[in-house]
Amino acid sequence: MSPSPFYDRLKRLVDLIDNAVLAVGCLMLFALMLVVVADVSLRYLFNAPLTWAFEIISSYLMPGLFFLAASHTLKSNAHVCVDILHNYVGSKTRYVFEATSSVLAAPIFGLAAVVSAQNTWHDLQSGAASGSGMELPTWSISLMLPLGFGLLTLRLTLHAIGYIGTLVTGRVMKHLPAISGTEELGT
Amino acid sequence: MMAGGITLLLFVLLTIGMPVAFSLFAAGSLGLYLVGGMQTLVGVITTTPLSTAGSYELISVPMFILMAEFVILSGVADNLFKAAATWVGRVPGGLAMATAVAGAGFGAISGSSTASAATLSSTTMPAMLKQGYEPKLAAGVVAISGTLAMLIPPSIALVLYGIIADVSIGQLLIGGVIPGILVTLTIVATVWVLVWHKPSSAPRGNAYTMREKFVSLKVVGPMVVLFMCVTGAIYTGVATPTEASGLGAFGAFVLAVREGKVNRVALMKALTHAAHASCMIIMIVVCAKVFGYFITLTQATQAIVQWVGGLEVSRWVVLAFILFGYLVLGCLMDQVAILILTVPIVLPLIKSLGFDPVWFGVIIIVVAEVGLVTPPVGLNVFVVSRYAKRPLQEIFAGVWPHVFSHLLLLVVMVAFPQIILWLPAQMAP
Repeated sequence: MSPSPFYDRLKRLVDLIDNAVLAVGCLMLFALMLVVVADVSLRYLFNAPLTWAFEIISSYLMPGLFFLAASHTLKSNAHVCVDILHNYVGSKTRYVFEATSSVLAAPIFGLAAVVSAQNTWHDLQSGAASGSGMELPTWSISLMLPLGFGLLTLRLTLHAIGYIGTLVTGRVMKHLPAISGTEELGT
Repeated sequence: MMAGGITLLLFVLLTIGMPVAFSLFAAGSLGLYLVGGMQTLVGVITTTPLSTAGSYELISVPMFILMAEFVILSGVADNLFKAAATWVGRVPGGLAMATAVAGAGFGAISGSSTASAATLSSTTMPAMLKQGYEPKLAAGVVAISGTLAMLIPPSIALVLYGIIADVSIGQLLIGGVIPGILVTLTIVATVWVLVWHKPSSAPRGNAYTMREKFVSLKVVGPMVVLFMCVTGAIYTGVATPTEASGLGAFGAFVLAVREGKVNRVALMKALTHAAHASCMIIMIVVCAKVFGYFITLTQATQAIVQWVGGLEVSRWVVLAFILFGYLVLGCLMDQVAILILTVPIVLPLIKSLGFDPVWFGVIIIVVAEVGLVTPPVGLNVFVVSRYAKRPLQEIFAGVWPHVFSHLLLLVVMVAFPQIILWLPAQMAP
């Protein structure tokens, strides 16, 4: 049994949100492909490109697939790291390293998320619109950052609690990530 | 001084295994705070991620990754090796040479080296071992052939270099074609020498009739379509690299549908893998931008360029040092991370020494190929080891002759830049 049922419940909740958000990110990736192809085809075949393609891609689809996948990518240990040293140290030291990483990264992503959330809220209240052709509401574009980095901060905090909790209680709350060569394939 | 301290912190964070992107973000943020205060820090970290992730040219990264996922899903690359083996299997070392040709073929329709190494290991290793090949020879050629995908367009690594270095991505991709062919020939030649030296390491394969040979070519059809979608479209100027990447991904998707491999689960799996890999790369690009702001504020790059400019040494000595540095880094770090970390600082230096940025881009990808197969962090070797279920040491041992011949070819390409620059110069303007 895990030493902290509360931690497990919180983790399950964050997992659930991450999975849902990632699914939206994946759909955005697929949509990105379709929009690019439709735009190119219409331009060359009928000389009628999609006038909205550029703005939708750079305002929503590209940031969407990035920000909405950020936390899930961390959960899947797919963020590249230099882990040579991890081959030569014991698991306790590895826990200290992982805890330090999470503790240092969380507040900075948290700061970016909080300040950008305030900016987004300000945009929503003022009804600001993007200066380009479609006049998209600015908040709908800037929302991606607090959402993505907010979830990432939550995930980093969970990791920090899990690693520190394991070190303190001596019972595994969070398993160590696999060392290079056994993790999920990237590029 | 400040830049040095923060860079040292970056290396400490990298060493303890903090993800590369987060290390850049943490070190860069502290640096920005120390140089410009809270206002500068907040300004950068709340605007850079959105503007960078939304940049139009970055589309090629998720699209080429998605293309690789769909190519694997479609299974069209699985028969590449069989087709190549039908043609050259009878030659001594023929199956190993066919592996190199299949690696080049896979590279022409996919920009991912690990995907290539994984596909090659599962299709070529069993065939070579069954034929009685020495496992070391077989594993070595698989690992090095997988790296071709990084050089032959579409190449995710070259796209990234183009974005960071602000160099024409089209020219870079086309610049990778001739070196890609030369690297393939070098692998074939290395196999030939190895087998000539020790004939028992690679028994002769079966002979095939001309009819069988021509039937095997049906695998070439879909490949040519995908190749034309991307490299053909870029070379002829029909599409920009960004548009071509979308066309390539879509072409691979259509192939996967035609092969009856697309269902909801398989599609979501491919999209999830592609989203993870894209997010990982874009995260490094975003965080490197934050770190880059700090470096710009401290004017460290100019200081380095000026310092090197003041040295009384030939520019070739500086280049040799830089390439040696890349070889060492390639043994320790992921290739994408190396590119993003170093190019913003190294490229101004390379330009100031009068070298061509397109040529340099292709050169460091060739160096990065070596990094993919050298210990301790030779990612392709890990992939081959896992998929072919062979020990790591065996593969590292088998790959050394290829590393040696690769380095020889590198020297030739450094000495004769036209090998790389000729084809891009012929492109439609």
